[in-house]
Amino acid sequence: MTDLPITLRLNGEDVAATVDADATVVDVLRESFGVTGVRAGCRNGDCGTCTALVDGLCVKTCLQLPGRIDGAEVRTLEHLGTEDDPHPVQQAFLECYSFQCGFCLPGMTFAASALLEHIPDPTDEEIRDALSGNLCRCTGYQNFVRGVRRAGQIRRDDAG
Amino acid sequence: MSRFTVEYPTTAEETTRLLEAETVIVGGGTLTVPALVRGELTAHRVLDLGRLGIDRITADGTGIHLGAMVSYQQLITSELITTRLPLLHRMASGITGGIQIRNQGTVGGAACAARPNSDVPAVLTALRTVLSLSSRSGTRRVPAGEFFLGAGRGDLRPGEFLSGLAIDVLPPQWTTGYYKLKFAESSWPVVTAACVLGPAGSPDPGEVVLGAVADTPLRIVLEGVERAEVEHAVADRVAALPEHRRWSDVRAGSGYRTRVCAEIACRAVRRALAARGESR
Repeated sequence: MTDLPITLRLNGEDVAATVDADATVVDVLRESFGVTGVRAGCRNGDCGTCTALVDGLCVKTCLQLPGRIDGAEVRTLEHLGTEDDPHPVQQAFLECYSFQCGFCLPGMTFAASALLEHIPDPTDEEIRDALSGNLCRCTGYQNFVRGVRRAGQIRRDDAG
Repeated sequence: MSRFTVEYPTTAEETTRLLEAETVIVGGGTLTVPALVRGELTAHRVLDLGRLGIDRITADGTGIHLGAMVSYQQLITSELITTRLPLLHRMASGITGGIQIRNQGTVGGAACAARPNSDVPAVLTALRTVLSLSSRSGTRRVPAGEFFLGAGRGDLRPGEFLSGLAIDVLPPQWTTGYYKLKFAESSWPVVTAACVLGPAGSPDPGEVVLGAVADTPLRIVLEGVERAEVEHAVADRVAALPEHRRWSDVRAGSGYRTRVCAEIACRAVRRALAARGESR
């Protein structure tokens, strides 16, 4: 038996599918559930563009077999904010011209968000460290560092 | 069509039963899953330990017990680890790969992978960690200093899986330091050094364990903590290494590692000294 039935809560909806047991989660999310907010990049855990939140943990889905999301709550980039109401990290990345093509955004956005959950006012060293699992070939990273700094400011302002 | 089946055992008994057939074990997945995807690892059956529930950090009278699936991020955020095993905390905080890899990579998986250039083997050896290897016939306990047999080769026998790691907390006034050399933020280490020092003035000053210089962690007993003494101890130990045991990879050859390892050891010692309030 090489097919695996899975059910999960994906971006707020209960979904189910029967998937190849040897697929990776990034492919399952894209091909079985039509979610494109995770992207297939290096497939080696280096680039970060397959990043999603699985049960609240920021993970690279190219490093997971599909049974890991059976029964789990999965959030992808589509579900983080909206055009009218962006997440503070998304708003800050827009303000700071952090990205160009956007291919790296799943990893950059979730890594930044996870950092700010743990450390609301990170140093630049902490920001660079948190983003270090993500590759961007457009911007040279400097504007991502500015973006995370700005996102922290927005979050602190919102908190009053 | 799938190339392999995947089992997700939920108990140790189920795991050891499934291990009776030839199986590839997935822990955190950061090394094994890409290798399976690329076909570098082939298997008819894969055992994914993600539902086994061996991801807890607990303390008893003398030490700390880590489930084999404890992640680097757990080591970073655990108060127990931060306060009682600062060497482990320091090592986990510097793992390459950012937040995602620290959430997914496991200390047990890194031990089983036994990569010479990983941060984990030398640190586990320095802390005199004991690994619990479970099988249908019981649990075998192996010190880290004996577990690492060669590059990519741990003393994990057919039918066994790593279920946990036990580390005794160091006595009061003992301190630790960690330092690693790498060439880029996203790089694997080139040389690592984990230092454990006894109290100032102790007749047994302590030791340094070097990673990525040989195919297994290299334990070096110190006769003193002055720079020249550390350099001398490292030079003697490395000179005695047979050629076939010296580690080279794409990041650096064995000659470079030999040249820099004394300096890396000195920096780890310096950090351990700083932890007891001394600067050298």
